Amino acid sequence: MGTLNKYRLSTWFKTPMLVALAILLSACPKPPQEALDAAEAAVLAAEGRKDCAGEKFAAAEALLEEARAHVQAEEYEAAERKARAAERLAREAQQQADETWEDCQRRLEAARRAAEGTGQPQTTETEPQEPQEELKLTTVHFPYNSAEISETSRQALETNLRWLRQNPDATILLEGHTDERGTSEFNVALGERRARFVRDFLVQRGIKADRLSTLSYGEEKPVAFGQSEDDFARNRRVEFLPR
Amino acid sequence: MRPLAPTPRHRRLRRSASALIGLCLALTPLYASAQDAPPSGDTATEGDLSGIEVEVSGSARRTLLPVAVPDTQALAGADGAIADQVEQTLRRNLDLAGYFRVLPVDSFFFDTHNEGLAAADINFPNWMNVGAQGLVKSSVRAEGDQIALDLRLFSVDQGRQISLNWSASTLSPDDVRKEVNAFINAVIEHYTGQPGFFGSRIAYSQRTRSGAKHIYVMNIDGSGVQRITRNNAINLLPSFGPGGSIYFTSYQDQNPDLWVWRGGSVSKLSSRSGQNSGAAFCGGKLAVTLSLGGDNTDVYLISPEDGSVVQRLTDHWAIDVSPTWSPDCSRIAFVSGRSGGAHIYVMNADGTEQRRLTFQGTYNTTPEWSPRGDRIVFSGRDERNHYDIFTVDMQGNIERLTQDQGNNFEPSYSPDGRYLVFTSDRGGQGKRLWLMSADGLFQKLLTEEGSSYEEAAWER
Repeated sequence: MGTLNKYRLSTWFKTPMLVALAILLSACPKPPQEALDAAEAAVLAAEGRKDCAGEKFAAAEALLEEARAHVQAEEYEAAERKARAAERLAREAQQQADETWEDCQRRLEAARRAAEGTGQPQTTETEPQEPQEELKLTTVHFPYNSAEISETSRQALETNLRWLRQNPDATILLEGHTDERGTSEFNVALGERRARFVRDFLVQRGIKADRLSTLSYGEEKPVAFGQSEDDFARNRRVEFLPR
Repeated sequence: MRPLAPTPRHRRLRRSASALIGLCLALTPLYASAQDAPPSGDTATEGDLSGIEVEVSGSARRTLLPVAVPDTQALAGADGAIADQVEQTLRRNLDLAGYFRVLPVDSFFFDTHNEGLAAADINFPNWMNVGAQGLVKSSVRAEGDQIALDLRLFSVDQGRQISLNWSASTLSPDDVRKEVNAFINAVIEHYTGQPGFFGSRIAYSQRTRSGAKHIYVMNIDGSGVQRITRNNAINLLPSFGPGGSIYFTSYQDQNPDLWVWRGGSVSKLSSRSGQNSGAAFCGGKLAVTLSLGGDNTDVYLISPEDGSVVQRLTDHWAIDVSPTWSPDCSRIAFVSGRSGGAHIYVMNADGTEQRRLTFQGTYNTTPEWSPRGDRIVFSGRDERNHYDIFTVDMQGNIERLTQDQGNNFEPSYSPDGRYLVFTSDRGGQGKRLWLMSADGLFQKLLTEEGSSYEEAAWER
């Protein structure tokens, strides 16, 4: 509940545009687009970790679906409530996955081996050298005002590196972003540094440079619209976008 | 007198809070506070402004002249709406000018509507009794489809009309506001020795709820808003070029390209892969930020005609952005991350003699060189992680212009250097554009409606 209250406070009091929007909404009903967008962004952001936060992620996805259904039925208040709940759950899912990432990866790996062990005969003559992992590209996050990364982000980067090796024909746009603090021109430069840091990391590990392009939006395209440290942290990122 | 900024209670609270934080972090504050800053004194007192002192910001005081602006008289069947426009423009813009206190109309205890515009018809003791030192009288008269506009300034204590560098004329209704502003400029010139800024323009960006961001231009008094970008993309960082052209960066083609708007049409000027931004024009030269050839951002000179590179001015592995010219186009200030954080640097226009100018704080960005050439204004993050506006002189001495009023960014000087327009999130309504005198003492909201305004640049 504590996190819930904190989240509500930060949303409702620190982003007056939302307040204004809410007033507007009560006057003339419109779909709660911002809440839906935020929920969608949060669900998307958590998707890469859904195997490690199964229930919460599934619940968030379901809530988002319900919110969309409410919009169809023009029940905007219910839609907004559901969208906000979906966003909160998706964030919690992501956080839970982040906290238990290593254990979870080990568990998943063990489960995969077990499944292969029972599903395959003992003698493996025509077995490919390595079983294909189910990998997903994930977003890499950065510390404040920095173009270098933390250990968690390095793991995300390693996952993306394996994905790139699995998909040798794929080309990727590395999209660099910053939080809203600071000023826009410097932040475009900082977002570009982040994207280039990631590109250099991958090139050093054998990915061909012509498969990777970079683009920075600076602070212009946030995924989290609040003003909490958590929101800022989620916006400091490099996204991996297949082209 | 009603203080424009914090009440005494707020100030006490803030003072104790900042003292506490100061103790926790360091015993020496990184920046001098506004109260400690030496008075610049050369901004408001050039003419014979003998008004009254009022509290304008914190404990700072500034002399404002009390002026009465009774309703504009509509004569000979003139449209009442035009009379309304004249009186509203007079009141709002005299207030915005920062030298006057426009007296509330409901304090006039006598009927002002039948009093003529000639000095002989005016009951000056009445105006003295409402506290006015200046009196602005106005009328509009219909002459065919034209409007005869009469505006007069009187000295109440001397009981006479003041002759101004402006004369009454007959003009099209569309030009009335422009002419009222010319009159206000003449009134400001009378009191301060220099005409006011009305008639000048600013460019700015404004974010929409869908996530797009557009470039606009408007008159400094908020009239004549014109949207420059017609795409649905993110457009940012407008600045003025020659002949009223406007440079800006746009993601219209999925890369931060530099575009230029000239007389209604836009074209791409620099579209190298990576950053193309921060255009600053001076005397035929155009300085920009580019991340050319896969390099980190550096400052370049490019041709204003075809965008080709004329000269690379910085070459450093750290971020170099945001060039701004000295008024004589001989030097450039810019932002560099080469010493860690972000700081203001200066160099000659050919890139030689690069030296660091700011040594306080850790994040000083968006510099703009003052039209007088003696100072550079910038937004800096202070020891409490608040963004505020500061100036630095060529010796590195720093003055603070904003404090305890939300976060303040992106300052830009008026053509005469007496004012700054800037972004502030004070007041809890998101980012809006504010105006202040160059000494920071007088600060006023410019965009009274809407939010998400940013990156204002004043045309010079």
